[in-house]
Amino acid sequence: MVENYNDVKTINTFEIKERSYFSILWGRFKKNKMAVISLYFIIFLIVVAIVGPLVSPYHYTMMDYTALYQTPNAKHWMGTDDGGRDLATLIVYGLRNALIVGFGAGLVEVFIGILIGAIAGYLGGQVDNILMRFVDIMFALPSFLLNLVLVVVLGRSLFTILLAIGLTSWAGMARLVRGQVLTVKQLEYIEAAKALGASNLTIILRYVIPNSVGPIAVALSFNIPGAMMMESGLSLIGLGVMPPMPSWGGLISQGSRWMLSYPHMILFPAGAFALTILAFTFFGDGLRDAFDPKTE
Amino acid sequence: MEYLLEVKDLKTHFYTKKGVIKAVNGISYGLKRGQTLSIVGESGSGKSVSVLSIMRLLPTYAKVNGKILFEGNNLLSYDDRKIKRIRGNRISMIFQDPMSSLNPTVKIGQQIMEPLLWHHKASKREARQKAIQMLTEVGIPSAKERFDQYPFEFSGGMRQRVMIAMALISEPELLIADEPTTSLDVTVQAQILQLIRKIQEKRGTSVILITHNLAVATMVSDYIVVMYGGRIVEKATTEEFLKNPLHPYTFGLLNSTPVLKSRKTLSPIPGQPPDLRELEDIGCPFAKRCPKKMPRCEKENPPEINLSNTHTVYCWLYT
Amino acid sequence: MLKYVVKRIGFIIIALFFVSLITFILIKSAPGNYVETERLLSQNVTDVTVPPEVKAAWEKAYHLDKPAWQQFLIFIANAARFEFGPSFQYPSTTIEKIIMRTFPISFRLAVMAIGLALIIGIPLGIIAAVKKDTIVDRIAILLSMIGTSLPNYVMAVFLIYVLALELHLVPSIGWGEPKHYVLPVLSLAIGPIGSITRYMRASLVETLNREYIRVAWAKGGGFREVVLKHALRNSLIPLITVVGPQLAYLTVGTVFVENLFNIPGLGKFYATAAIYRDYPMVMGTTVFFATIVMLTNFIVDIIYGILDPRIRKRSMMEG
Repeated sequence: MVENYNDVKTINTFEIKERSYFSILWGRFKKNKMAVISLYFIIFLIVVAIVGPLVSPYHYTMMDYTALYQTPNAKHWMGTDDGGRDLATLIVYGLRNALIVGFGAGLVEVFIGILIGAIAGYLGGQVDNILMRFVDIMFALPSFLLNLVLVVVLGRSLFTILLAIGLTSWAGMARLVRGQVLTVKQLEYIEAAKALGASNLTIILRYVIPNSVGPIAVALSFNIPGAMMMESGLSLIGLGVMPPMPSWGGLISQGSRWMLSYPHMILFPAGAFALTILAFTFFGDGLRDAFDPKTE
Repeated sequence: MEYLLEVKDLKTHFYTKKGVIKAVNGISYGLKRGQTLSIVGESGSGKSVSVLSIMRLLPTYAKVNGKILFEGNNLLSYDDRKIKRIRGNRISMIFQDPMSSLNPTVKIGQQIMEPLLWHHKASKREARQKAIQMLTEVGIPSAKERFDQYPFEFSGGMRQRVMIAMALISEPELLIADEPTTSLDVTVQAQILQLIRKIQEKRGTSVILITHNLAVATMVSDYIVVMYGGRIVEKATTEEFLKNPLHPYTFGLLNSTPVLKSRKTLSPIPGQPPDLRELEDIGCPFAKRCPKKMPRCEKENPPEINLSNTHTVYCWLYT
Repeated sequence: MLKYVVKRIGFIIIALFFVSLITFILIKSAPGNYVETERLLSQNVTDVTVPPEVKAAWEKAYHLDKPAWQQFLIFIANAARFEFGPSFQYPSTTIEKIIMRTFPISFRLAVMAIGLALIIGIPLGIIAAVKKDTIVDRIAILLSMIGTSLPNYVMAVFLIYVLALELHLVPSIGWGEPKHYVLPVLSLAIGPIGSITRYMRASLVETLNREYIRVAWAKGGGFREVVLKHALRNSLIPLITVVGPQLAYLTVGTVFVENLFNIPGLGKFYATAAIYRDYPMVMGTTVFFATIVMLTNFIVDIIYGILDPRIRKRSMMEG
């Protein structure tokens, strides 16, 4: 009976602690108004990316030679392009693709980063040494170079681009996770857990990852727009998703050819892109301050 | 002109988000030429702020009121350019921590020359000669070589010597030393104090010494001002002060300070130094810790009691 | 210092070897070949008949007849002498000649952008730091945040629109005259301006709170002496570590701007090579860019070590 009572008590305090941790986090995050607005804007973007293609009367392959280069009007909210395609629809598909690549590459990056970082940090010694030198090399290079080669090799579908970006951007995440592992390894309760026979995998899943959630989330919130910029950049130079599938970079590149006469063709995609990137950046800033209020 | 520096009803208040901090709340004293005045008090007594007010080295949210007469001119009425011409030229200052008072990326010699160069008092060559001469005077061996070294190549005591050389190179009328020995080893402390006194005698410089150490103050100064909670509680010549201390806080300080050749037992002052944010405008700031507290002490400001031309105490005990 | 230099060079060589190896393996496993490149270039999609003896001659010319490991060794040996052989697209010239002709354009853009960024970023950072927490500071922070987070090609779009299309200040297209540099350089500079402003502000705010800065004010220094001579000195040297990587990444970052403005720099050729699967050109340029980035960072670190007296003197003392 007494034992049961104790159990209940610990569970309760644990829950209270947990809840208050997130409410503290939210409280700190809320102070940064730009970050809060950005969060709502990102949610809005995600909704648009999902709902937009369903409700739009147009499709990105729909050409209309009776409606070329139209400026914004009632039928085409953002006008049309050189093929008479509805620009708003193209931008929404571009948004969808950017979000898929952004979050997808983020997922790949987190997966590889945790894997490499945890192995390096946990095993230590020679394995750690070799892996970290490899991370150093990845870090010393602009990821764009390897990205370009990978895209040439893997092809130019949404998935391969996402994979290529993920494969070239995990170095920072691996360093971060390794650092967390090394910190957690030294904690006394881990020694205790080990003494009780917890396996390495259990320790990583139970202790290391929960401890790293904050830094990983912050890093991710900056890397997702990074991946989006990489995707657009590749499209801009003609190495992104294959046309006619729209991408913001591709739209900017296409718009640049008609800029003198039809600036709306470049300003709408560039503007949408800029707003999206800024929203993620401001959100990331707020998130970082919420997790680590010391840094200004 | 009798006084080199006269401070009259100086009030320095900080306007912060959490309210007004009355760090200095109406103090007056005078310093004669060639003399040394010590301001003694615990941390938070306002002694440092009071001298930073003279130099006008306070953040913008500090408001300074009253009069600071330097050779009869009110420094508080000076604009930025005029006060700049005073700083480091006619009034110099030495700070508490010599380890952080020197720019780590600038050669020692350059830093010593700067007061002369900035005030256009010498050519670069003359300044260099003077700096080397000053380094020798403050007891730094092989000054010529040391001139081209960086601060990290100097020990704490040596750095404070450099600071003194830097403060005195432009031959100021007034030297303000803000706890110049607090962060140094005990043996070095005595050397630095001796050095300050030696140079002062040689050059006739007036000195304001800020210290929390009453023993130091009685050793080197002609006049002593005791501050508590932003106000002066007692001021007197050192002689009068040692012979006839009057304020209960001064008693407390004397009893908690070891004096050479005496066998008295030390007794600390009970209670904590005041929190400046909680100080009231009315009443004696020391009242809460005072062993001789009377009911009126907390309700009325203590009166100014002049026992001689030079000895003043602010206390209800002596009415 | 020497030990450090040797270690860094060793790392660069190993890193470049790995980059070459990875690139080589990836490209070997990529679909497409010289014939396909020819086909893409001639836009003759369906019917390409190449006589087998011609194909054999081609393969011999590009060492494609040898086993993969030999091809790799040949590549490494040649790359070490800065020889990459002919490309698929331009069989009559060599890749190194293309690089020598086009890279200076990209590099000039990058250097000009960094120069501009320093000219704008440093004063902006100083103003923000000195006016900390005022509206000026807030605006500077916001602008630098936008500048650092948006990619240069998006910046370019807005700059073209405002400066060329609306205000008619500069031409939006064309290449060959100095005025054609304005928009690309501005687009490239905005990111570094943001980074430099942010760094300068943060660094100066920290430095201005240091004790030795108060000492410098106390010596009679003004804005020029205290902020520009003393404080800036401690911020400018580490600024190199911010600018160095920026320059390195900007050299690669020109790829986007060159494509948008149709500038015949190396970045433009690099992208075209990737589109047409010109594998020798992609490999050569990737390794070349990687070398430039690593060398720039290496040189910057060495310069930093030389400029900081603390690092320099310590390493000298250690021998």
